Amino acid sequence: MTTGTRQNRTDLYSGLVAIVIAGACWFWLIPFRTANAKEQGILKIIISKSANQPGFFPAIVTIMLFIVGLVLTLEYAYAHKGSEESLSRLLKAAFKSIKAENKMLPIITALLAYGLLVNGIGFWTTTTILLGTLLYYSGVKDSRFLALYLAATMGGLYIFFSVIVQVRFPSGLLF
Amino acid sequence: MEHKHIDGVINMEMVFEGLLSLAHWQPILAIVSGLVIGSFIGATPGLTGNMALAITVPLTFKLPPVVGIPFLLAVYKGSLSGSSYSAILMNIPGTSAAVATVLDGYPMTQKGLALRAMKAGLYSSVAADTFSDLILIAFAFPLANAALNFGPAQKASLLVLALVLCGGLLGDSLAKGLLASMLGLLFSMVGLDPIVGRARLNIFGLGRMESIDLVAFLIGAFALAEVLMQIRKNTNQDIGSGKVSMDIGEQREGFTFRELFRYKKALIVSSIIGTVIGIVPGAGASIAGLLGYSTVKKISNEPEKFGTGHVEGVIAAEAASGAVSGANILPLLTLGIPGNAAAAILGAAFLLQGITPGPTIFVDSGPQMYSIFLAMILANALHVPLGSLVMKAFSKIRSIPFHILQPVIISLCILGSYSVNQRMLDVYIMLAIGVIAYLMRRVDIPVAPMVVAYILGRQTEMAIRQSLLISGGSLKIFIDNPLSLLFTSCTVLLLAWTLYVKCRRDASNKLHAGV
Repeated sequence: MTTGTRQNRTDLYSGLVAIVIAGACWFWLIPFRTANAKEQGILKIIISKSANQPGFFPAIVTIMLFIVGLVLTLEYAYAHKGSEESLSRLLKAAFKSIKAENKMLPIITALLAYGLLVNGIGFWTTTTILLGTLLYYSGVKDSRFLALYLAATMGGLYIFFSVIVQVRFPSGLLF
Repeated sequence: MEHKHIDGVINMEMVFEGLLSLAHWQPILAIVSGLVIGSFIGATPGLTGNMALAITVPLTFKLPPVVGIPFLLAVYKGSLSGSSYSAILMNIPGTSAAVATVLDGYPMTQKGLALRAMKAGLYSSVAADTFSDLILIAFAFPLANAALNFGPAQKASLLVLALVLCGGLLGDSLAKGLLASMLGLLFSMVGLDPIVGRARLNIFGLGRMESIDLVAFLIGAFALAEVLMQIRKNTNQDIGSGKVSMDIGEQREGFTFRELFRYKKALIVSSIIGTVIGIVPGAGASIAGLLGYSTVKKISNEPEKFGTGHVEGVIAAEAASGAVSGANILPLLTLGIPGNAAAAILGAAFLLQGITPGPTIFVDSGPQMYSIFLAMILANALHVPLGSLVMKAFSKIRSIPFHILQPVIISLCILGSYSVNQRMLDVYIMLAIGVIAYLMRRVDIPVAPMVVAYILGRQTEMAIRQSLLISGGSLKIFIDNPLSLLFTSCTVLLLAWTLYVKCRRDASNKLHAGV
């Protein structure tokens, strides 16, 4: 597969995602999550250039985002005009790209779990567990080294942030 | 708010006040540690200068501005020159700023001239950086004073131009750059409306906050996303794993300042190129390095030696990328427009210190600004001896497995984003932005325009909305005034030119492909 084809595919993915985000803003975030927008009507706010309305600028940016997304999608379509790239081949390529992120899934899951547990368990304990998990995942299996490394790093960070800068971290159930 | 004007090119009273506040051990220690940290981070492949700045910003929020800002500037300067060490020794640019340095730097190492190449790089980078800092000092005050006269319409058209420049130049594709800018603008709008104070784009309660925290946003976009990219690449690149001996302890052939002046043509040309590129929003040290290198090659008496391990090539590349560091904060300080990612992070640091970059900076924080300027010059003076020590130390380090550094950086990201406001919400935001920026990079969407747009978003929105309120909704206000007309025309021309270049390139690609 040529770089050019990959470039075109990333254009398509980016374009489609931009259109989805623009749609989410237009149909949900602006009318239902922005003050006055539903009552006034987004189109009316734009046409009357009601610059004092909170929804005015988000609506303008949403339209521009939609246009950019459309341009990227059309660019892809134009570049593949008459070519044999079928929808199933495109979906296969997209699936392959997602599959290639397999390696990242544990990392992102660990970050997500960290976010969920940190308040309950405590900042320093959860951060140490996260650090240890990441180190273990990246190939550090020597438990003595792992313990020493964690103690030195977390100790250093604790002294700097908690003792010197005096930042108060959530203590949770443990520490 | 009405601001008083201060006449003159450089206010000497402020210079002396600045000098007095700098004459303590704390700012000097901050500069020294910043240079050392920056040099090591810049020299480590995979750790970028932007990442260095992003993770060190939270370390400065409890420091006074004359200590914290010089520390960050020193980190930035150190990372720029540090990136050349790994480029010269291992053929791996520590950051993209040293891409052009590789061309002659590594061949010099292969010839056993690593020390000479690194010293030539350091001296030329420092000399060009000093030139660029002097330009900044000379022009910042008058430019900021002139910008004080900007009304909302001029400001709006200038900000839109800056957004288009950054979107167009900070990536390979204009459309993707603009997409990143639009995302940045959307993120900037989450929170309370700046005019009527009502909630907007309110998800997970974020709409009731004033805005998304800038430091958390920066750390996520630059530091966490970079680590995730590195984890994906599984870069277990050990420092010192190059095939060529890096031990420069026995090498005698160094480089002197006197020798640098033998290549004054290369130094001057590259310094000017780097300074100009630094001022232009959207361009950066990597473009400057490559442009400086190719220009000097064209005007050199020995162009055939370029690429074979010629010291003039190293000087050209390093002087051009070094000159960017002073100049690229000129638009930030005077107009409030960060031209690239590093300037955006520095802008956040200024805000964190209570200094608002923009036309009123000299009115509100004049003496502090001059102490920061003087600290930049001092950092350059200290950079020469410290850089020489760091390059020797770096060449002796045999192995730093990259995967060992990654978790530490993630911890610093978490601690850094939490410690500014001491709330977990900022950590969640940092994690979310980090994952978003990582996904953006996976589909080749540049992250820097998103960050610049995020920083400029509120200002741009305020300026556009104020202009429309003044004009009663008429768009003519953006072309009524000569300055706004100039900025608006530049924006339109830039967009048209970029589209034209893209169409020509596509047509030529199709022709070559035989379509």
